[in-house]
Amino acid sequence: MVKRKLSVKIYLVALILTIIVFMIGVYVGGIANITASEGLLEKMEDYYTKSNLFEIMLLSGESPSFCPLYLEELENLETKTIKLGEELDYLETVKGVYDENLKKNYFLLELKSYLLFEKVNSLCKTDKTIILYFYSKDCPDCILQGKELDLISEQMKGKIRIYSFDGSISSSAVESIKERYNITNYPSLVINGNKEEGLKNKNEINNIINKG
Amino acid sequence: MYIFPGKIIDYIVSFTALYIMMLFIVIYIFNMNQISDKKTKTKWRPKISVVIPAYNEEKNIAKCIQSLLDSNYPKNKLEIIVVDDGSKDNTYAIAKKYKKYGVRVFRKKNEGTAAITKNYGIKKATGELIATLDADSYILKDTIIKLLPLFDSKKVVAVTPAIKVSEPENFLENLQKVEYVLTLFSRKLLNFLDAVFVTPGPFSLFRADLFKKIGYFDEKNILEDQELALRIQKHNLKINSSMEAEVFTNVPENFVSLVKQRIRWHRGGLINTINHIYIINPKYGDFGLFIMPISLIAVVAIFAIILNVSYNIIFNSQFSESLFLDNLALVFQPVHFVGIVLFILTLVFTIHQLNFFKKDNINPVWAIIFIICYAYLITFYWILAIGKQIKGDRISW
Repeated sequence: MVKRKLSVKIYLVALILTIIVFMIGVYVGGIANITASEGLLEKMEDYYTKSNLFEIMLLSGESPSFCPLYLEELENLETKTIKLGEELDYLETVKGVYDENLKKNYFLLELKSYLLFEKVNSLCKTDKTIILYFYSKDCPDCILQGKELDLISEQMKGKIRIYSFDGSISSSAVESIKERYNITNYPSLVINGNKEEGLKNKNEINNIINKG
Repeated sequence: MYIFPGKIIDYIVSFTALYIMMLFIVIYIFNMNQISDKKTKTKWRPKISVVIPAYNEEKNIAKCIQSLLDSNYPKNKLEIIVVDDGSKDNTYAIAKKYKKYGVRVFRKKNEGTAAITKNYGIKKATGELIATLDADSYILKDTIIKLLPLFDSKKVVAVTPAIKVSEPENFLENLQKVEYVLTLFSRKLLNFLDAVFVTPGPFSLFRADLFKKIGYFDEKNILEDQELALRIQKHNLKINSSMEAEVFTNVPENFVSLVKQRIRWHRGGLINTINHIYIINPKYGDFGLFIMPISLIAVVAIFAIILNVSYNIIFNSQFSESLFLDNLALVFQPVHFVGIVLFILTLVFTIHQLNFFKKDNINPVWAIIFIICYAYLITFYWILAIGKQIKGDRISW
């Protein structure tokens, strides 16, 4: 009969090698996350500068005759901001990186983008619907509200712009817009300037948009 | 840091895959000097009976018998037994022609499994060693002589040769050629842990008294060559594997028959593993702790991956990762690194293994194609095998 043995040494050496590779992977992954965060921050700063330039352009002209130019420039900025938002969302939900500084900067950019949108909208009379969406990290209805808004934005592609703000983050940008609409509960929506509290499904939102 | 469930599965699966790969590499490194067969020669020339079960093999049987007649093993020590399993073609007539060379030819009615036919022949055999040789396979002149030194102790009850693909022509046959030699290499590595888990059907050589001690081939089994090996392990007996004593076998030449064969292997393997599940026990050493669980782990891993992919499709569909391909740092995750390392290791280790099979002239391109296709193929086989098992289909040959 064969005397059974356990090659503990082999198992251990293989385990150590595997762990080493994994640690390197986690380390490289960490570096990638930092690089990604820094990249996003850089982009935000860049867009913020661009939006400042746009603001100056808007304030110095302020004439409906420049509307095509304004709209093009705004569209450009918006597209970039939306992509940035998705990247940030990906970083947070898929990769588990929660960077408050990054989010504050993003909300500031979003707020800026919203204010410029409002301005251009009043000047150039676009028919776009604007929704402000206030959520908080630990609100159970917010996940559902987010999904409903995804559906709406898919359905009204190009005719709607949704700005979302995490109300639980203490940032002066978010505070000021919260104050403006007196937001205290989550989720809350501001649809074309009218506040709606509590979870609203796709159809309810549609009705509000059509009424207003 | 928040980790969602799919991610945990990713980590567990990639860790396990990397660990198993590392184990094989470490086994190799620890036993590097003993990979090739020892050059010891033995004067031992026991009487050997070769049992050839044959069912509808009129195309191959002559070549198979002739290869034994051409062997340089002493003629008076070699008994050839052909058992025709109720063939509907000319197998029996062809085999009968070899009676004048001393070949013993029997005919029985077909009873379903190859195990029954093998046992029939084994019971007729008079040799001290008994081999089973599939009728669609053939040996070389020196195969038997090269195998004998592997019986290097009383504990060794079976030796397995280097089974290779006979004259590969098309894509699938060439792919299997790579697969077969790589299998030889890993079987050799398992040999160092006393953990060989199959005595391959095409050709294996046993001590005759083994069958009296632990029983014959399981006549209800569809993968009787593996079941016997598990029983050998259960009795703490030893199987040795050669990388140099060559036996050539025909392999499925089209996808349908290949899939059919693999479903039988995977399904049969799974059933045998479950029937001998008690072997998963440190009492059986490396075999019980590592080899037996591995096939079960593979099944679990494949279904974990399927589960994970569907989870991601359902719950994370709002992200299309292609959207972020301009930002690699954002998409990169530790599992990607592990995946890349695993791929490179597999590639390097595989190419290195092929160095041991220089005379097979395997083009490295085939090896790369094999590595890329293999993961998908094996997943496919497992899904079909499990699906058929759940549906309860009859297992066919």
